[in-house]
Amino acid sequence: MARRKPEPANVRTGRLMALVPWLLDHPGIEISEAAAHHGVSETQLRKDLDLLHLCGYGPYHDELIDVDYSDGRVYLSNAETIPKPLALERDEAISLILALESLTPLEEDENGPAHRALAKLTAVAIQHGADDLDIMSEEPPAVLTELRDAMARHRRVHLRYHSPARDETTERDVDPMRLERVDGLWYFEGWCHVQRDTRLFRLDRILAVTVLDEDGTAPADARRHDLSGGAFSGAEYPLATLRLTPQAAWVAEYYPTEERVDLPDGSLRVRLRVSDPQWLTQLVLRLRGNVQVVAPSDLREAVIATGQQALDAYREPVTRSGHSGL
Amino acid sequence: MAIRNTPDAKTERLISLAMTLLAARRPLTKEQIRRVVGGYVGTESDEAFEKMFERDKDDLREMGLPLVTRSLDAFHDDEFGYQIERGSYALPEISFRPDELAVVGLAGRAWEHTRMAQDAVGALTKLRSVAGQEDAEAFAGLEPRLRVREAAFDPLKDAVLDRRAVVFYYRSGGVGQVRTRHLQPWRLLSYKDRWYVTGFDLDREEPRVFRLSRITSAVQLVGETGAYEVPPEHDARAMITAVFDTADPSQTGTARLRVRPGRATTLRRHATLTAEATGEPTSPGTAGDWDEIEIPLGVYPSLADEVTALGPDVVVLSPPDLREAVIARLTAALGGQAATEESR
Repeated sequence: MARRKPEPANVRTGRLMALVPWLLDHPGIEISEAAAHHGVSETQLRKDLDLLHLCGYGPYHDELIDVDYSDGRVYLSNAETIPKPLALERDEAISLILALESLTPLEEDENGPAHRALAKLTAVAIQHGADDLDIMSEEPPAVLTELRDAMARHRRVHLRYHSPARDETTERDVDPMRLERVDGLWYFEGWCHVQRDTRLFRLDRILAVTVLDEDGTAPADARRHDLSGGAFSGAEYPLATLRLTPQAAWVAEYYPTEERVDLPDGSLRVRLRVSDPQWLTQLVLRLRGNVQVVAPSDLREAVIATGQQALDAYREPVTRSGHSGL
Repeated sequence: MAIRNTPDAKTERLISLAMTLLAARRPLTKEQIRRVVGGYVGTESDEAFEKMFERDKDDLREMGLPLVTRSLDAFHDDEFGYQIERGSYALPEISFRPDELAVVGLAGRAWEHTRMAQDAVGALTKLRSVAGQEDAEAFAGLEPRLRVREAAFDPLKDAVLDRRAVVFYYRSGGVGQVRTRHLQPWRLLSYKDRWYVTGFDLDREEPRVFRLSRITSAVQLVGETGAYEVPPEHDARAMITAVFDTADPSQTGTARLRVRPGRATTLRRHATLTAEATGEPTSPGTAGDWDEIEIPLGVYPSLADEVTALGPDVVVLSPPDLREAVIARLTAALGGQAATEESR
């Protein structure tokens, strides 16, 4: 695991206090195996071992931990004062328990691994506080099970997908790459055989999945979306400037913005990426004049034209169904 | 001689301090600790040592080491020593099957929030040291992310866990007015990936829900620790869904809509198709070329909003007040696009 910032001393101490008892339990373990098990690089592990060599229960040489990894295998002795890892402290237990709880809805089976692990963990963890924080996970979309199955067996899938922004339904074959939950929504990423490119699908918009009996291994060089800034915040989409009244201020919370300015009259000016002009049109129409498209002007014109067209429909007298209008 | 206080030196010192206290058969005085723990030898002054030792003690306690103060002499209260209570510091017996360890690993990597991630990884580290093999394939390709974007999360988490009152500025929904709020926070809860805090509102003197993203200031912890208790009957989930949930069952009746063929898929999921288009859509006033659907009014908090968003693809036939509502929204949305020049 690459660490950009230096690991804080207390975090590293916690890690090493857990590493020592494990190494005592695994005398002669290969450095590579130990590093993999603890999720650190071999270089980092060697640094850790060198540091442990300086630690002890007293200042004299025979009171220090004895570390030997000269032949690529790790031997630790004189470290029996740390025979067991420390108990989970309150915040550690809460953080892990919450995350596990958020995963249990993924399992239909109450004896699934997440349920079992959660039961074991709550039994040993400090109880205090675990109920003070809560994550309400909604039921995952029904297609999740089928997609997980396809991914586990490396099968291609056939999707029927609805895009509300374009309001169109499409069909395509996709090789699964990953399933990702971002901001409460599940996304399915895969290699789309229609577009010949990686595509991201929202699970709640997948109308139907058929797992095909065909190998579904995506091309090795298929690019992956970077969802760390939220889905669909990619730099490839044009930036729009919007002015939001206080009633529409939630838009700035809801969607990732690149810039946000509080204006003297209480409204906000934000800049955000617009993945689809129709998405913006829907947003503007829905929010009753509380969103103004400041720029670019072609987006504003498109929104106005669509709104005008919608309004014009109400200017005509409506004929009863079953009767001809002409 | 000045001593090093680099992260490496500090780690070395903390581990040695923990080992020294764990190895000691009886409590050690501060002076003994200063002589025995390598990292303290050579501290410039008593003051420098005191300062360093105080912080180290706090760090060890935060790590979960029960470092306690004991009187060394039954007759003299002023002679203190430090000890780690053996037996209570260690992780209880626990073992995970490979698939369980895989899901614990997944949970440990899920947080995208500095403190929660650090805590989860800390827990994972400890568990890994007692656990066996992990089934790496079991959850391959699955990436559930837990995000916390609200800056108010950290202080409110502390306040909730410690039962301490807080004060903050809050922007209300609707008109968006910002006011100072005083709260005894009860529960911190994520619903649809937004964080909420429930608690007793000291200004309004009743239980309330607050959305963390609407807190516009820093959250200050003002009260004493353990100043109040959460009522045992408090149901945070019910309270939040009651306030923020969407569907409105009070609306009864159905709306008749004219919809372009193949469009408005989301609305159609809740609707009944009553007439199918027979030709290419022309004017929406013209029956026959449009689909007609009937949809219950209560399925959306505001059907008018949903219809308006779909623009020229949907036209309301009835009821008349829904028609009027959509017309008003469209007119307002278009009106909002004017005055662009001055707002630049």
